[in-house]
Amino acid sequence: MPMNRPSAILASAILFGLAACGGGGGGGGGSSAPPAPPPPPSPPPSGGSGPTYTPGVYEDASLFKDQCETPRTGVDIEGNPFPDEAGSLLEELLWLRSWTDETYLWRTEVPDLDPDNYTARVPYFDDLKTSAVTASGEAKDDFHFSEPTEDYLAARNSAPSPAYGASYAILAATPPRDVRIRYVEPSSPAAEIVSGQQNLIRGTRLLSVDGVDIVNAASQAAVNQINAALFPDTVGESHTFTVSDPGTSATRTVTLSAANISRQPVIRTSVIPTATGDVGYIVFNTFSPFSSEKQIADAMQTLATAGVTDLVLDLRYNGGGLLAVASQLSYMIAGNSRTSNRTFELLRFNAAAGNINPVTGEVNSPIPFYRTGLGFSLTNGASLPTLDLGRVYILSTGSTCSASEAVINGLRGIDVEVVLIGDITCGKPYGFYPQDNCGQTYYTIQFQGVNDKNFGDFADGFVPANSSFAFGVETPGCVVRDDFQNQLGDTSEALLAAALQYRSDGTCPALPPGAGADPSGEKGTASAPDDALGAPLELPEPDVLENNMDLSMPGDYRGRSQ
Amino acid sequence: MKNPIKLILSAIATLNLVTACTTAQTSEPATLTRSDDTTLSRVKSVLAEAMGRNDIRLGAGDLTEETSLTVLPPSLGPLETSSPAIPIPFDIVTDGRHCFVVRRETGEKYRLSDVNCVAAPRAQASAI
Repeated sequence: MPMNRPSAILASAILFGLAACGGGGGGGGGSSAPPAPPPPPSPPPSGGSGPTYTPGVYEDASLFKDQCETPRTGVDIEGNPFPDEAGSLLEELLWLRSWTDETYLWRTEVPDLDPDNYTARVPYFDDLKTSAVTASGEAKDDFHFSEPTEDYLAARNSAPSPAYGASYAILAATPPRDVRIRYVEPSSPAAEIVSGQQNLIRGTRLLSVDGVDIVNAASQAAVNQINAALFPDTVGESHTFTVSDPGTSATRTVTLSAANISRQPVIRTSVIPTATGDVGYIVFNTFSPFSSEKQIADAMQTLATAGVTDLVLDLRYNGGGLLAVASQLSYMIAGNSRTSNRTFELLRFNAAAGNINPVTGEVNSPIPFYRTGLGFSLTNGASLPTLDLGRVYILSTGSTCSASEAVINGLRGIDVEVVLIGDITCGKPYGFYPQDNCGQTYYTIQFQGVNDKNFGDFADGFVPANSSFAFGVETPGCVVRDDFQNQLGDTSEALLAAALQYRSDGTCPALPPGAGADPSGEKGTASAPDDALGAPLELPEPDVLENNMDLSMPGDYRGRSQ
Repeated sequence: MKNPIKLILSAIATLNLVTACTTAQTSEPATLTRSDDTTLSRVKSVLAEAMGRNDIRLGAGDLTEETSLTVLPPSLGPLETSSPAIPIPFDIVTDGRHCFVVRRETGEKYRLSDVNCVAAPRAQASAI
């Protein structure tokens, strides 16, 4: 019984009010609040024989919700019955039109499209967005997307998937290809020690697999073989790689057997002694799994116990996830006094929504700096440790996205100095609530996150101050290329070394050639020349283990150039 | 609200709820006596009704030690990189005869059928 519906509350109160609260009922619900008045009746669709399109007139989206050209029957993979009813393509398009008008962040920039000009729902949805561009010349809405709901549900319910536990960077997608290891998951096949040697380490270059030349193979068939080996389908699937490690031209052979791997949010926590105090270092790779709440709190507790006086937070591969965990992390960095009665992030919806979240219908309350566990993987109400820092060093690349950027923006909103070391972040201050209708799940931008200073205009990313980029929100710090020659946490690794240097004397390393260009190499596929010899190697669809990507390809700056 | 019938129904409903919540005021924070699979299955069944969805996963916490629980949101899809999702907290209470979960943000109360609980010690109860 969904008790948030006024009618449900009314009926429930009459039938079960006493019994439920008094203990005699059978699971009914009551409420301490008086029942809300029912909403005013919605106007009926115009016309006597079904809905019609009237330019400039947007009927309530709920009138068209779940009125499907091809209704589903039964239950979805989560056991929920499909809500579909027999309808028409026109009703699906009218729902998209009205839903966009009600919830899209830039609703006033969307053209009023006549559904009669469309024969399918996805092309119609694709056109229901703004055509404006950002200062860098890129599309303001680069995040408009839909997919079959079956795929959406399968992805979010996927169990740990077969993998080696290695994250790849494709530095060159066409021959001569350069495929490296960004990092390995702890306790994964990739991290296994064999004869005193870890199977794969950061910077390891993959040269061949099962006899197929990864570097020079030219045919699509070979690329398909390579991809199949890089991304195994089944547990126990085994492939043999020839690899070379950073700093050596020697090769070695590694046989990897796929296992079910869950992505670990925190893969490294360490304390770096310096002449001016201990510095904490955390590699935090995702805010997405619920375990991220406990893992980042545990890491911060380790550093708080050690008494570190500074923090280098490595978000270079963190594509985002839960804003609540981003808030908790920011609180743990800044501490009580800096965050008290301040807003971590306010979700700004379209102006017509006023103070109401147009998606949930609830009052749009700001996200505070959460001071306790919320019950994801820490007990609800459990105290969080704090470092009480007025400055933090954040390591970034184009993969530093969304909730990671919310940390940067949220801390800047309360005047914590964020020193950015690495490269321009991806630039996604926006978010959405995925919405199913008739078997298709739609992603349309519905909110922009703004900080305590009401700032959230970082659609072109945050950029270190010495970058030559002419756009992006300038932030203290240094441009540094990602460094595959050294391990994460090694004080010789370029980004960490630069952070320590900046902390020591306020200077940056010399700018690398072409500073501002992608250092992570992830834009390999995007930068592949048209006349390249040989088929380009492409990473498959976003995978929670390999790339918790934004809709834009991380590292390619959504096509931006300096 | 112009319809007089709706007005009367609303008044009756309000009266019922006021009475119900007077009863609710006698409830005390509680912990479950067991947290075995059967018990948790019963709890989840009630929470599924409360949440209006079938798939219920509980957040961290031992329900024989804690007087509250959280219902996790659905897992994020790979494209949800800026998600406002948070767990939904419920408090466990007892009126001395039966056990209930109360949705903290709304006060909605659901009876836990065939689930045993005990009133929490006062110090633990004051924590909620």
